[in-house]
Amino acid sequence: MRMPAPDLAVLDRRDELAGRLREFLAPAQIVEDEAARRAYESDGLTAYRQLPMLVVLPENTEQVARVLRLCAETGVKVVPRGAGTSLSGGALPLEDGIVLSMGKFNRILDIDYDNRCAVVQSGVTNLSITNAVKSRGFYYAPDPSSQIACTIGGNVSENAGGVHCLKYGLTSNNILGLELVLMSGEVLRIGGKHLDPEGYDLLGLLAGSEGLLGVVTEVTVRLLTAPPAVRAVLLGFASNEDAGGCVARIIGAGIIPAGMEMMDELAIRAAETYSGAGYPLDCPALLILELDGTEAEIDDHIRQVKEIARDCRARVVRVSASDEERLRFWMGRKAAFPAMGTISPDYYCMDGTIPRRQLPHVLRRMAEMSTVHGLRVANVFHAGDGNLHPLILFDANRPGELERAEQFGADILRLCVEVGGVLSGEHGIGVEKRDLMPEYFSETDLVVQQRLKCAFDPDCRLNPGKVFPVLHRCAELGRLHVHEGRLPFPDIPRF
Amino acid sequence: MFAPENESQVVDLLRWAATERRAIALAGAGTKSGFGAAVATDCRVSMSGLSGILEYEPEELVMRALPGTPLEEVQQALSARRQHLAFEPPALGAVCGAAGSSSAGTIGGVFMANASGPRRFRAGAARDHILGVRAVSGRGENWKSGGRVIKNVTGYDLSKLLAGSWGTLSVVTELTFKVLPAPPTSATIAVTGLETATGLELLRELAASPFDATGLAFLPQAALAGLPAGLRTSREDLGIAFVRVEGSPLSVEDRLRAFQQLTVAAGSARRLKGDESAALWDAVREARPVCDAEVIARVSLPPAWAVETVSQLSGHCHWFADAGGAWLWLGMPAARAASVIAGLRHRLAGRGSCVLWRAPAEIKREVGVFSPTGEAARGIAARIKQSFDPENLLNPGRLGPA
Repeated sequence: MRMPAPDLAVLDRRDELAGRLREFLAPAQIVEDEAARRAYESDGLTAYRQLPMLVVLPENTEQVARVLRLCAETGVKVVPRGAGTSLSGGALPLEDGIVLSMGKFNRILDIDYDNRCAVVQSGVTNLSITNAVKSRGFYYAPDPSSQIACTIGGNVSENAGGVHCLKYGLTSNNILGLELVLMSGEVLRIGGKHLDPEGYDLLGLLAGSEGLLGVVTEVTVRLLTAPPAVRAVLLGFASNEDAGGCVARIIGAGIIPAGMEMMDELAIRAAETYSGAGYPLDCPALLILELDGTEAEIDDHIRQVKEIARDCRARVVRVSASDEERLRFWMGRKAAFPAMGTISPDYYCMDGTIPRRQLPHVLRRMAEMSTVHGLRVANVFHAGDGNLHPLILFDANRPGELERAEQFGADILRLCVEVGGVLSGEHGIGVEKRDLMPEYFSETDLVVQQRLKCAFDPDCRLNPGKVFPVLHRCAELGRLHVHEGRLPFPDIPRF
Repeated sequence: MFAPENESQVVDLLRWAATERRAIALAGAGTKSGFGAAVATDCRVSMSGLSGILEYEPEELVMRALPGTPLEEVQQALSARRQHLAFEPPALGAVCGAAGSSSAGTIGGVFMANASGPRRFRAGAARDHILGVRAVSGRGENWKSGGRVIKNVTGYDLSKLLAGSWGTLSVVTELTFKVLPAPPTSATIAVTGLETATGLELLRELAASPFDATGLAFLPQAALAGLPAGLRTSREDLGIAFVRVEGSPLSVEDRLRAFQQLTVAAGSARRLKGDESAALWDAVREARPVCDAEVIARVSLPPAWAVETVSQLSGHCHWFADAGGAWLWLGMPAARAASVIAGLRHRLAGRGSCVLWRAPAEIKREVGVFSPTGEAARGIAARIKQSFDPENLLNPGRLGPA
């Protein structure tokens, strides 16, 4: 992975930069010591490591603004970081850059039940929002699997989803406001506690922008009321085709489950061995459905789901009779990633999205690729929204296996694009999929996006080397690409 | 003046416009042309020629269509498969001064206006349903963003950025959007005899209940006057809160009962007949209770502020609340509008929005179609506009001075 070449002049001025940071930050807020900086050298994508020049831990928006202004003035690159759970290398440091850790932004500022929202600092973890409001019957809907550790600021940057997003939406559908600091040090407040802020949809743009446009310091999230009842259904099938067909039929019948997860044979076996959830091991494809609403509504939906499942040749149909049983259905699925550790020394978690109906085809092609690359792959699939997480099993101690796993992963993502899907559903492009962007976007598509980056960060100091395979200077992008001479009057129908 | 029929003609047109520095005014069916400031140009472009549904896969919950496709055509195709646009797009032609138009507008217009209806607080806005776009920038380049899947972090979400941009960033040439199963049953209860404060508080309470109302509106007595006869109530009724529940028949009955219990202390509840219910939500969606006013504004605010906000309105102002009290539609005479709007915006102080949907040009000039913003926000908006349309050719001035 090629990162932007370090600026030696900046590295030479490291001590000077630290000195200027000390003018407004306490010594403990600046990490200079190499051993302490090591803790920040990678995020959840541990295959990539880079020691940052410095790590800075601001405590408030004013300090973030001063750090960014100083970096803008002195030409220093900045990598923002939440909890560092990114699986795409979005928080991978730069040798000549600082890591701006939002770890001290950990306060819930305002829980406003009257307006059903909460204002939190960006370093607050996803789960702690729900924990803070659940006694009053509320929750924050997006629930990425790292929710115990990941921060809401990181969720905004990756537009995190989770298992409930077909029904309840992604981060972008569940935030009302943001406070954002631009690379210039300007502080921007977007939205608030109301719907539909005026002007261009900056909330929508910031969600999923991977820390390239600004540093999020505060987020106002919507709080939802917990449904009166929740039940789960476990369905086992003889084939991926039957399971995939069942998903399509359920949605076709007008049922939008709160969650709908699918696992393939290898994932089922690993999860069962690891968690003892009680999954039927004679079914090579498993669906877990969660249905919520009033009891009558759930009864109604379960009756329909059972009928559809029978039509789709389900071998196993189990409905949770208690909350304990429902959680047991989920236990194996939620442990699917760590479960891989029981069957393989290492695994590489991929993330692509495909049109749902392509699933059987994609799984077949993946099995072929698995033979070609000589590596096994297990699959967990957010069947409701088409988000696929293939887990490629390898052994990093065997020479060449990591590289083969990466090539296999890239082939899977190309396949996702080929069938009408995209390169990333929720982990982001980061550095991991950066060089695959031209598989999906034209040169112009990428230029349009980079120009937008320039509108926020004209010198490309914020998280450079992520998302875009080629770094252009903003001045170069600004030029008009029209013909020099005059164009003839266009030949277009008129009225 | 121009009516391109495909994307390549849009590219040609915009390349020509870019070299000639010709400003362009864009429209679909023109139903919302009255929104914002008039665009000063003789170069008008109708997108109606790019019309048609390109792809519809009910089981994938996705549709792809050209921007000029009439909204009715989209809705008919969806309802044939018992699906719908969950954000309940309004036409708003009457609000924007195109009362005579029989069209409900185009799908492109719906997304470019980010037009959403009473289900907004529950199902999201138009922007929450857009998945992908193809578009042509003011530089004459065609580009795409997003795709056809719900979960997508592949590059910036430029589809959302275009939603609500009123054609000022790029000319959209294709849209892909999420569709959802239409609820088979819908029912509404009217809770009558409510004081304004009681009614607005009730909306908020019900919005926080777990029984999933999909419509929550409060109409004070003055706003009820224009509704079909069956919906008007006797004089002593101060106002009516309407609660809509949708879903399978069993679920609807179950939840209606829950809502009836929740509202029993507030006032007497009556279940509307099916046609009454449909007529009511049509009227609410199209802001009909304030449609006769010279000036119409929509305020979006934290719902707990609604009571105080309406208490400050003068008697010349008509209003009603939608989206669980998160929206207030206001109608007022032109003579009062400037001071009412300025006063509202002053009190909201950036913590809510207040947009003029209809006003004489001089009022729009005086107070602005949108609330004033700070320097940082103005700067970023101008730079975003410039990144797509450096010569300011696309609907220049429509959303205010550049």
